[in-house]
Amino acid sequence: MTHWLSAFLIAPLIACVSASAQPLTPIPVKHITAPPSDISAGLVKLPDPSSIPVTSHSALLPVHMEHIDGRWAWSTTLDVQQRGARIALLSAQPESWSTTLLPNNQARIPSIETGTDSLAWVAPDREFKHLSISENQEGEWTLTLNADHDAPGFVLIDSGPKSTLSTHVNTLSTLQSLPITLHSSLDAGSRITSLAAEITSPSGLVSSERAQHGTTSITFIPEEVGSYSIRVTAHGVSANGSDILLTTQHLIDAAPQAPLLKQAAVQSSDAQIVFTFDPDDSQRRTILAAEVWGQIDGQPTAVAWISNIVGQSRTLTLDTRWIAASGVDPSTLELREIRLHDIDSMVPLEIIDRMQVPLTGMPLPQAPSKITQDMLTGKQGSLVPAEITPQITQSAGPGHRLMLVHGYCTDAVPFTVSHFSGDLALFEDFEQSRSHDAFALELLSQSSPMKSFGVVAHSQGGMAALHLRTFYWSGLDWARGNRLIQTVGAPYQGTSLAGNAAVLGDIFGFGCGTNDNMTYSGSANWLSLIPTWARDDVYYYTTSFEDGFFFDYCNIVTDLLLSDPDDGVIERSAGQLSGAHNMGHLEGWCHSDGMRDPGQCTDQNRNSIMNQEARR
Amino acid sequence: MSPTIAPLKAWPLALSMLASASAHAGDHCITPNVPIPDNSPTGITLPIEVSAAASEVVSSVDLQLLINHDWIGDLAITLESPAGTIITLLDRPGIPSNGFPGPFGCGGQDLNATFTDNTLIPAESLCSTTATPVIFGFVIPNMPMDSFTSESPDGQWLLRISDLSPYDSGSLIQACLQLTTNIECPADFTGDENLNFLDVSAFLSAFGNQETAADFTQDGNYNFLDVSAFLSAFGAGCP
Repeated sequence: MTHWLSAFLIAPLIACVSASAQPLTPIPVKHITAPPSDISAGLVKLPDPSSIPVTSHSALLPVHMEHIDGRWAWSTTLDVQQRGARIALLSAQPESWSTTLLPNNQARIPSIETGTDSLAWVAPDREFKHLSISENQEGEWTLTLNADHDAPGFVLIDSGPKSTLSTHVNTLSTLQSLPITLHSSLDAGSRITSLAAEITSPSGLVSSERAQHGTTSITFIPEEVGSYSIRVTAHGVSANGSDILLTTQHLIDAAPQAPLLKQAAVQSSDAQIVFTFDPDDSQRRTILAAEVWGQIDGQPTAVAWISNIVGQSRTLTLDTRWIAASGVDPSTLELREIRLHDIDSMVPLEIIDRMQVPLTGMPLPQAPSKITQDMLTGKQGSLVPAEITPQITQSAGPGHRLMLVHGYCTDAVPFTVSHFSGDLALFEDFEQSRSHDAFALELLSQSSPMKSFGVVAHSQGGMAALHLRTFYWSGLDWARGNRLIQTVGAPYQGTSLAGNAAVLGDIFGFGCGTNDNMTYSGSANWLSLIPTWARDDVYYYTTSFEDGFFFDYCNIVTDLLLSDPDDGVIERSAGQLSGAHNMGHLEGWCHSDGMRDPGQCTDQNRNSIMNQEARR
Repeated sequence: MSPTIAPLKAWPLALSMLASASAHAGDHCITPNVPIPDNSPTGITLPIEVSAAASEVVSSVDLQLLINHDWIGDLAITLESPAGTIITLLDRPGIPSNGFPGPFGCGGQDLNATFTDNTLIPAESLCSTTATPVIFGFVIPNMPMDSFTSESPDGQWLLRISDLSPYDSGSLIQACLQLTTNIECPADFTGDENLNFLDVSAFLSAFGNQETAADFTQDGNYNFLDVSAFLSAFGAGCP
């Protein structure tokens, strides 16, 4: 029996197995088109960066201990308001810190609750001490950490007046050697009095930047390629005059610039128009996209949005039926918002506002009576070389299957497998941090024995499946049944933990590694390349903690970093996918096992429904 | 001449001294509704019986098929004439794959199509993730139907369908062999659809020149037997 992809994937890989470099294998990619309605709805556009800030209601303070009287110590003062305060002690060696937390007014007996919890997603296998100052103990408090050796770490504090710090980048096109500016603001009524940033380069160089007096922006130039972790610290004053100290944590990828696209050459036939840009001789894989516009009686009219993965040859293809359907004059054709994205970080490498691409004497087909599938995905697509490793797991059998897909940096299948029936496949790529694209290629590889498959995915697995469905031909395209991709707890719009993980990586190690695709900006870059027809194949569920009287969190540490409601890793708001099927939000379930409520992938009721409805 | 459409066995094979090579067409349908064994190279072989006069030869063949199948890329289909000529109509559409649709071939469902030389759409070019039936309308087979041209249609035609990959199955619902034949009239030597002295004259001229057409007995010799055979055919008239 022939296996999926075997004809052009597996054999070359086996032949190259002894090579040290990952072999390049031709992968079948789609020629993606979205109708004009996707353009007008803003689904295939980059958002304004100010609309996707990183927000925070806490301060992540580094602990740099001083050697005093034979001991190491660090202390800070907390402004505790009526609502109380919460503190998490994040040390690589938690047992080395001894803690005192006392009100400066020693006249009263402090009421403090303590406990331990993991730091979900960032360091899920470690327990950290947390302290809560309960309500109605206003005043200055002092937190002191002592150790018998220098034990650095971070203290995460939510205290002071209720306030939120928002920080956004000035551009989503964050490129090496080009300045990046971070703009910060506090919510209405509060103002920033000073702003600073600690910037750690991909190679570990740490620099500090301060905003000029009277401004709330910090600019830096990323001289290196790769992921910068940045901690922005804002001091401010609330409307009632209370001091504010908040931080936001960021992960910003400085992508290497690509050769310029330049003016497209245009070739047309009865069936299609091909726009050819300057090649990229480095053969770097990128995603190219553009809006196609024309005119009807002088009025600009959107024809379609087109996109595909490219390699050395950088072309876009438009089915001429879209021109016929739009009714525009081909001699008025132009491309707008031409974008070239890095395939892994999703950073836009080049954006061209407009490019005239007129065509004259072009035969047009009859206007189609309806949009057909091949108008959206291309009839055949093309092959683009990519690095892909075949990992045919024992559980990945042939035929038509439902694949259960885990998420980022997971050490086990999160779903209760016994809740599913029929032919199953368990995706296994444990303890990895991959871009959505690399994750999707792993899915493609592990699904290679299958004629078709549907997906039930957790967390990043959902984005990887949607990425696969959008950009590549795979067994997903042949699955039958009701729901192609069902996801639970997938952060389609990102999670602030991605930035926090990057900053905290200094003390915990980076675990599975940082993940640019799951920041708010990385997610926005990616989502701007996902058309409605692909989103329509996604059925997603979100969950959050049971909002009880005593507890309102899944993970008490990440609760300091996320906006409620959340499942301990993703906020409900960031789990929404416009254009997809929202299957509901359920309280009482957290992102993974080990949190206050059960792991969302163990919900038998939901799992049974997903099993029943799944395409295979 | 315009073909007439009628079941072959009911053809009004009008004998006319005025007729020469006339065309006739007819459908030979079977409705077996039989399953195609999954992952079986042997598959199914279905005979389609055709009765035709000895003077008839095939001028064109179309084959209409109605197949329900969950994965059309599993199927290979051939047609064999009574003379033993075999052509491939379909051979696992989508294989080999150049990206789309993938190494398992076209995963679309069902086929309701007529294989004919008289269209521009190759059957294996029709593959869609959404259209059902995925192969439909008038389509070109992998090998041309005109391979059967000039053969006798009389006898048993064999339709073979095999499923060459597991996990998906289906059935042959109906097959209709649509034959158009020419009824030959060798005595109409001028080919003007009239039997008269001009044919005799043309034959004798060809005979004198020892042209192949005058070798009526097809024995490589030009003698009285050829003259006798021609006159016999002339006397018998044309169908």
